Amino acid sequence: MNEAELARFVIREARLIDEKRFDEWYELFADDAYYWVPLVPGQTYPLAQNSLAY
Amino acid sequence: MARYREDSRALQALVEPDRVHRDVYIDPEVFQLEMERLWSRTWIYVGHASQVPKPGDFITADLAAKPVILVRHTDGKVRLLMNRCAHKGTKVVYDFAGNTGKTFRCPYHAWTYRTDGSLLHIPLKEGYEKTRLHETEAVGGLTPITHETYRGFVFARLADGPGFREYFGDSLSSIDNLADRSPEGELEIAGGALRFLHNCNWKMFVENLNDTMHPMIVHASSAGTAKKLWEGKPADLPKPMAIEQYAPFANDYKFFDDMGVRVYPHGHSFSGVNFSIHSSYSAIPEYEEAMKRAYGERAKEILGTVRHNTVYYPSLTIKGAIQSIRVARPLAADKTVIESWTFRLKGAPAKLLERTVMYNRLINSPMSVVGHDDLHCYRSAQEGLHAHGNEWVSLHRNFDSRELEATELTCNGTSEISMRNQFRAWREFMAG
Repeated sequence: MNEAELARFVIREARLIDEKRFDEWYELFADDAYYWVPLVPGQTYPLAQNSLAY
Repeated sequence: MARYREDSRALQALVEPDRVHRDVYIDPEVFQLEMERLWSRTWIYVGHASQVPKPGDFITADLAAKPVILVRHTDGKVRLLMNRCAHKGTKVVYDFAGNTGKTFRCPYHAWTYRTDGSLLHIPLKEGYEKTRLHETEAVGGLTPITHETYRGFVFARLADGPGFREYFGDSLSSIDNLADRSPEGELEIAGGALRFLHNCNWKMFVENLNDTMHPMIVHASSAGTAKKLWEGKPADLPKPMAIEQYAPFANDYKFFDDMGVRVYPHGHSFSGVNFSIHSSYSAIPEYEEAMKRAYGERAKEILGTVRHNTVYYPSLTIKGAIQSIRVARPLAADKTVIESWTFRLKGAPAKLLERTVMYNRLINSPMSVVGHDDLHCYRSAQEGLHAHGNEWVSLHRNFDSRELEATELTCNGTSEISMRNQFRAWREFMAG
C-alpha cells in the first residue's frame, strides 16, 4: 500500500465512524489487527501499561 | 455574594437527613468552603510510597486546590511539602514525577532547598543581610505538611482535624485487603496513571462508587452488549477476560442488593460486603498457590474478601479485588480530575497486573465505553440541577431514622445510606 492509498484508507475509516456506519468500519479489520491508543509516548507493552484503548 | 461563609446555619440547612440542596454541587462559594473546611481538615490521599522509592524521587499533586510535593528525603523517609518557593511563590517543580537529586532549585531565582524543605541557598545572599527576611516565614523554606503512611498509602491533612486512626477507623480493612493480596504484603504502583477531566462536581463521582441502582441501567449499552455477546455460549468455554470484566455491570437489582453496603463514621463506606462484580473472575492457579505458600489458611480469607468499591471520604476510592484505585482531585464546583492508578502485587504472577491494567483501560480510560456512561450522567446532572421547581436531590432510598444514631452499619446493597453517610460527615466538617 503506498502513501496515497494509506491516506485514502484512513480518511474512509474516519468517515465510516463519523457517519456511525460501525458494521462497515468493523469489516475493515484484518483478523490479526489490533487497535492500540497508547497513553504516553514510548510505550512498548500494552498489556502491563495503562493505555487509552487497546 | 457570600451567603454561606458567615452563616453556618444556612450551610448546615443544605443537608437534611434524607436529601441535599443543589447548592452543594453547583455553588462556587460552597466549593471554596469545602476546600477550606472539608478537604483541609480531613485526610486526603496524596500518592503511594512506591512512587518515590529512591532519595530525590518526587511526585506532585494538588490537594484541596493547593500544590504539594511528595519526596523521598536523603534520610530515606518520605516528606510532604508545599510546592511554593519561599521567595515569590513559584512552584519549584512542575512535572508529575521525577528525581530532583539532593535539592529543589526554583526555576525563577534559584532559591535552593534540601529535600526536607529547608532553605539551603539564596543567590547574592548578602543583599538580605540588613533586611527582615530572616524574621519571616521564608526562612522555613518549603512548608511541611502533616502526613501519615498506611501500607504505602500516603495521606495528608492540611489543617487541624481528627487523628489518622480516629478518622479512618475500621475502614482501613479495605487497604489491608488490597495489600494482603500481594504474597509479600506489599504493593507497587505500576502501569502509569489515567487522568480524566470530569465536568462535574467531585461528589457526583464519589457518590456513584457505591450507587448500586445505576449499573444495570447506565451500563446497559456497554456491559449489556458484552453480556449478550456471550449468551448461549457453552458453559465450559473459557470466557475472555474482557467479557468477564464487562458483563457483571449488567447484573440485576437482586445481585446488587444482596451485595450489601457498610458505612463507617466520617463518610467512609464500601459495597460488596458479601460478594461483588469481581467475585466470578477465572482462577489464576499459580497466584493462588503463591498466596497459600505465603499465608497458609489465611489466603482463603484474603481472596474471599471481594469488596466492590471502598470510599475513603472524600478523596480516595479503592478496588482491592482488582488492585485499582481512583482519586478525586477537585478543581472547581463543576470540574474534577479523576486519576486512575493500578498496582502490581509484589510476588504475584505477571497476569495479575495485566488483569488490573485491562480493567482500568476498559472501565476508567477516557475512551472507555463504561466510564463514559457514568460521566454522561454526572455532566447531565450538573446541568439539570439548574432547573426550576425542585432544588433538592433525593437520597431517600431505604432511609431509616435509626441510622442517625448508628456508627458502623451494614445494609442492603441498594440503599442510598452511603451517600447520606457522606453528607453527614460533610455537614459536620463544613459547619465549624
